[in-house]
Amino acid sequence: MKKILLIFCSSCLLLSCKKFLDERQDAAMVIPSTLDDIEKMMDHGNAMSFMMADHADGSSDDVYVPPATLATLDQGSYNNYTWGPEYFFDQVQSTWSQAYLVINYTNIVLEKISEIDRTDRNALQWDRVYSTAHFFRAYAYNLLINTFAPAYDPSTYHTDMGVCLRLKSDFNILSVRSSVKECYDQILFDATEALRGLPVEPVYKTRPCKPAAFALLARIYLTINDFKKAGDYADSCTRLYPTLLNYNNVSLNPGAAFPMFNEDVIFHAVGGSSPFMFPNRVRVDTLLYRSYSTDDLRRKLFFNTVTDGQAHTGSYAGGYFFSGISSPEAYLIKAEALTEQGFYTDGMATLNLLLEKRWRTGTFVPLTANSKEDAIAIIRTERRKELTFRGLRFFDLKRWNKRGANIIVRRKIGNELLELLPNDLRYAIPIPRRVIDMTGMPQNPR
Amino acid sequence: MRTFILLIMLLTASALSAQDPGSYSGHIRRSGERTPVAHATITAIRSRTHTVADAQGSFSLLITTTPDTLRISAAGYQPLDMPVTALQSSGNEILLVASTDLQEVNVISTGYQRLPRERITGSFEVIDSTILNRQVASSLLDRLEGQSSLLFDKAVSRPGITLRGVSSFNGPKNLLVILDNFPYEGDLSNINPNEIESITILKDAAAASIWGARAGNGVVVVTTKKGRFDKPLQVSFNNSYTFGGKPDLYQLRYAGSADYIEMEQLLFARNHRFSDTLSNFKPVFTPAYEILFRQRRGELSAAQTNYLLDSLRQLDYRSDMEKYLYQNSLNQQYALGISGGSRQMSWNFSAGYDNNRSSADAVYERLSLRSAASIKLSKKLEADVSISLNNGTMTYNRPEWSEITFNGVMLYPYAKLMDDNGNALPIYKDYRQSYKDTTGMGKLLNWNYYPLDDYKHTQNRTQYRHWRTTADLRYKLSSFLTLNASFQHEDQVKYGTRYYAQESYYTRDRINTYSQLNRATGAVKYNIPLGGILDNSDDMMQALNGRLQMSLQKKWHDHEISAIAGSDVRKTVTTSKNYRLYGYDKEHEVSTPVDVVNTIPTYVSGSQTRISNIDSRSRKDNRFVSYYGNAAYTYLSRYTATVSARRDASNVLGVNTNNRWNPLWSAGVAWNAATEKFYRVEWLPVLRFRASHGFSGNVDPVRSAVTIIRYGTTSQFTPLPISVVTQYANPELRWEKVRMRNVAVDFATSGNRISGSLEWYWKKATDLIATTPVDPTAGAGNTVLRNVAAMKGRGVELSLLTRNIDKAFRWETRVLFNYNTDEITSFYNVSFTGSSYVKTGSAITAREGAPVYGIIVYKWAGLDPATGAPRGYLNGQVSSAYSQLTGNGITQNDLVTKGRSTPAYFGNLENTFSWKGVSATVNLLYKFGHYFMRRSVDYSQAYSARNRLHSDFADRWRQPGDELHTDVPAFVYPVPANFDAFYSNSEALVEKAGHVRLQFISLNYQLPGNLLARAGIKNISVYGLASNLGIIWRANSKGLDPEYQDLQPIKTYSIGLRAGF
Repeated sequence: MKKILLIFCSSCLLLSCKKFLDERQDAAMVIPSTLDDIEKMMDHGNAMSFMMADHADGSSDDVYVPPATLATLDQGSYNNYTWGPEYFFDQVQSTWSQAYLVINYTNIVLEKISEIDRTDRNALQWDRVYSTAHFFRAYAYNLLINTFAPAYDPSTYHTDMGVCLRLKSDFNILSVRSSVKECYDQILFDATEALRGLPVEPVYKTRPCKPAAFALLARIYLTINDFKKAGDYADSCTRLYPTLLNYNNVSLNPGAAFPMFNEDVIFHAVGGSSPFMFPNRVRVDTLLYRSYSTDDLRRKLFFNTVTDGQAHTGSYAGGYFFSGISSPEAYLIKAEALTEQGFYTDGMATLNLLLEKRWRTGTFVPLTANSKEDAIAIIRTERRKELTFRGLRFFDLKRWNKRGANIIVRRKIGNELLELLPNDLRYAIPIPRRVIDMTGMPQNPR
Repeated sequence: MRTFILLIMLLTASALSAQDPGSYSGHIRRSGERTPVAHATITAIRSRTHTVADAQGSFSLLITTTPDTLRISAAGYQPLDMPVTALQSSGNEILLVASTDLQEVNVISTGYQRLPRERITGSFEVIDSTILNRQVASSLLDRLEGQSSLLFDKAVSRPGITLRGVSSFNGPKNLLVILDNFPYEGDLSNINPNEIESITILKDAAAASIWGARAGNGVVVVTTKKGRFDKPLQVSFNNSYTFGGKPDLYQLRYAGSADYIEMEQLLFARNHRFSDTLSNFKPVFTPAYEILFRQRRGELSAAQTNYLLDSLRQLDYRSDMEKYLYQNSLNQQYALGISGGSRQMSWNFSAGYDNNRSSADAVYERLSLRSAASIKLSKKLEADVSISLNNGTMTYNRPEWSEITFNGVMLYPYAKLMDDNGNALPIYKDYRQSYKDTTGMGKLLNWNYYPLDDYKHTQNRTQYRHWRTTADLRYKLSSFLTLNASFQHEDQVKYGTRYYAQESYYTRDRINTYSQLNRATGAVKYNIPLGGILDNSDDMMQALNGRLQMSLQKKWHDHEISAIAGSDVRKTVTTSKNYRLYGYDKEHEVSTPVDVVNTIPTYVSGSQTRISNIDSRSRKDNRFVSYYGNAAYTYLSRYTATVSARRDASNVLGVNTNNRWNPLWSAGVAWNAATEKFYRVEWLPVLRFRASHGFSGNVDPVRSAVTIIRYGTTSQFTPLPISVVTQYANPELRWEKVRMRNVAVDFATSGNRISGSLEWYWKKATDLIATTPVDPTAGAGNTVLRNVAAMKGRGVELSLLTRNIDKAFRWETRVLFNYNTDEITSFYNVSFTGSSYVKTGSAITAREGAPVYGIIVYKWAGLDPATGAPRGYLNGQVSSAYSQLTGNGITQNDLVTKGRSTPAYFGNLENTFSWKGVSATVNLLYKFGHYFMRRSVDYSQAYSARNRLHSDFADRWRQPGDELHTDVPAFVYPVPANFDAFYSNSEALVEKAGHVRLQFISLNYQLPGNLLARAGIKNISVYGLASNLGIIWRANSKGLDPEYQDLQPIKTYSIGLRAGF
């Protein structure tokens, strides 16, 4: 009788225990399985919105580090600024680690979404999540290839070292570098998939939208010198999102930041967390500052004169540098692409649409060019002046120098003059040392 | 030790010959109520005969030789050894003490069963109420310090209480606390120490493995007082007062005003922070800096400047703080206990009230009520029930000295907080004073911060209530089988409120920050409404425990088996809620909503921010199901073997049900050598050996092998709800394993002159989960958790009690000696930089062969004789290249492993002297064989106001030659990168941490009994206690207390009275 009792009681417990243990431990913690779960992963701004082009910008000619600040820089930042022998990217975040964090999130999302059936009921969200993941992955890979690979060159791109194409979330898989060609194939695939399901207007600008995907494609095609496609996609973007912020309507205290998500912003992303590339830390190249006319509103809105130079305040991302997509960039891509194809009058007209919003009302005289070369020179100058500290300048230098622009970047450190010559190997920024140590992949030569 | 008298034996004289075999008969009864004890087993050890008593307790047994010893045991009773010198055929009455009547050291409670001490094979440590009552702390665990082999570690970065060293790196490191039968989930501070009968620490695998996966860090079983059957009404009363002084803020090793101003002048001369004057955020400067700015602008002459600075040099905020913020502390404790019992029922009621007022005027009040009863429902069925309530409040308004800040965590030392007329003065805070004074055009709220006034406008209050109900049913299925069902319900609520009235700086600052001032009209738009701010946090916890257990107790011939098997089910649900009310009107309890969605340009900088919103809620539900069993087999009452096994399952996320089970087991043997026939050592009547081997585990409830996301609040940039990956899938993750071996000997010399036990243990932990670097390309962050580490530890524990003088004057010495050492045996770490191996005792050492909490630092090459800059070694060469020294230029040979940061040897020496009713106890605590890092200047932290300037600044290098007598680097600006990171982790700051501390002195006077008896009082004693008496010896030559480098704990003095009726 007693044994029966014991057996009875224990079996009751056993039977109920499976169900008992199926309850979730923490209501907030889940194994991602629904579209909501994975869409919210991509709304995690601290992960997805940090597209750090800072290390590239830090090597560009827009940035100036006063001697006093330079003396306090950590070795990695110092080398970053002076194109030194090796970076010490062992800080928590770097362009590399941050971009791959985004990529891993998208890989998880794409793995999970492949397990979710697309039905009539969820099609809208399914497509949006699918395309959002592809957009983020394309955006991050585009940033990586621009930073860590040499300039695009179809004659060598089968052997030029690109970055690691990681398309699965398992961190035990060894990272190996793919060729530049393979990387661009992947980026273009992802960016094209992004077009499929993105909405024309996002709920918030931290989420990608269709105009952003067009602009991203335009940006990629510009980098690989396919000006026809770059121009077409930029045009598609400006058709869907023609808005430009009129700086005449912007009133800010000196040094105050632009509002976030303003009319210029199509896709919001921020740089940041590099130890020195912060708006209140670095200064602006003096020549660049002087190149703005006093009637150019950007002179006041973008810069704040402090004791040791000009601080940059033109960011659309608060205390960080902006590294997203803005409508001025789409106009500039369109202008450059049109001009490169020979339609320089149209190119100049496109440029003037933008500049009109930048000059004090009544002072702007539309710019004109007499030749394609003339127009290209103007557009390149204006591109630099508009897209300051947007994480694009270093990539532009790399791209234009490859096409013979012959821009030499110079730094004076103490009595020493440093130069970064066109097509220098150092245009491919070194990969963090710990990555090389752990994977054995080849480092970018200096 | 009244309970040592367990046996009253009545014998009548007999004339039988001592040599002749014959029968011995008698009756076995329960001590106290004298009811018959049925079916007891009686063994004559030398005669090797045995029998079982009948239902009435009568027995008769053949004895072949005398003298002999009868061993009598019965389920539920303490076994008894009784010498037989003469045979007697009738009239013997033998009294057995029921296990439930047992107390203290003879019985050990594991939370699952109560074991007689002679049958255990594992390692247990019992602390009885006498020892617990030597100290008066309100918190139970604090009373164990200096009285147990637990190591109390004062370093905040390491686990506070450890047993035999840590055995997990990333998992929980806290002890498992069992209250009576079940894990206690409420706050430990809820337990009233006056309700506690004893505490048992389960130390090795054989002892703790019954608690399975949560026992890896050691188990503490707390047993509450119980009533006893057939006991008249007893009342006990205890009352104590503890007094403490104010803290001595001058013990803080921070630079004084003169040194601080000197630093500021040096910085000013190098244009430090000049660019901040142009910043939109209007960052604050110190008063001395503002004076220097005025001089620079030409508003002050050199003489005027010096005069003003001189007047600042005279000030020190510490004097104002000691005067106006602090007071003497007073803790009051009242406890009442009433117990009694009839034949059918016993009961115990206790009530306690604590009121602690700290030196910073924080008040902690606790009321605890508890009622427990045991009822014999029938011959076969007994029930224990209890209910307890703890109600507490904590109120604190006054800031501690460190909470008054000017920017970040620092306050300039020359702050004056009160004027001569007793009016609170403002200090500079957050924004430049000149800006604060003018910007609002008188339309904004006053933006000044008055530290000595401000706390009157804030209220912090935490209120909690904890209910615990237990029921325990025991049903005797047969003479040897008992079925036991237990149940416990805990319910705890905790309400925290933090109220900032509109007059408080916090609220005024928030309102001003979000105000928009129309400079033309002077109209102010308040985005945060006028009124107070109220923050609320509500936490709720409910824990349910159920247990079904079968116990077997069987004895036949020379064999004895005692076993239990059962299952536990546990569920703990915690929910928490936080919310904030703006524009709160305390009188009418109403509030006003604010816009927390849209960004608003802040007043000072115009940057777009949202009004902060702390609203959140969360729910956690932890569930465990466990099956366990253990068995002990004893042969001849001399040899014991035990086995124990347990499996746990929990609802850890992402673990398949099949993998949820984690089996853990242990086995042990014991040999009571002193009872062997050949044993003839008369001066050592107690000699017992024990050995055990087994595994305990460690569940880290958040680790599993799949990708897990957490639903969070909102993104940094948008109000969109987000989810965050908290764990990246790792299919290779396994449970951690801890293997423990224990060998021990228990001994006592004749007359218990020297008694104690000596234990050796060996611990090996494998598959330890540790943070390891991962290729950043994987996108899983810089580190992931993997089973990559292993460690081993070993130690010795000696506990000794000697009765040095045992006459009218008594002198007893209690020695606790612990030796513990551990070592990392494997650790996967890809080395990039020597600095990743540098550890200062605050984190687990990632280096094979090093102690778990080791001190590994940069080799020190002294200060540079030319510049006073610190120097280390880079590849064996003296170097000041800090970035390389702290980066990947350094090799392991440039580092020096100093040793452990936790003591290798520690323990206590306690002497008690007593004479008549007076006794005095002096307890010394010692720790040896370890190191600590001395704090010193950190220039970059001091300049950026992230920390205070250390007083070592006064001893810094100033000119060549100083390097011969100082290690403090010269003033340097700007601070080269990694300068401070090198110096603060260098060998120069390592000191020996060995020390001896006077833990407490207690005095006790027991009033003579004959006087009291007439007044109907059983006993009265008055006692006094002095604690935190400070360090009496230290190994370092700097005069530092290794555990309290700055403020020493305040000495406290208690007096109290204990009475029984």
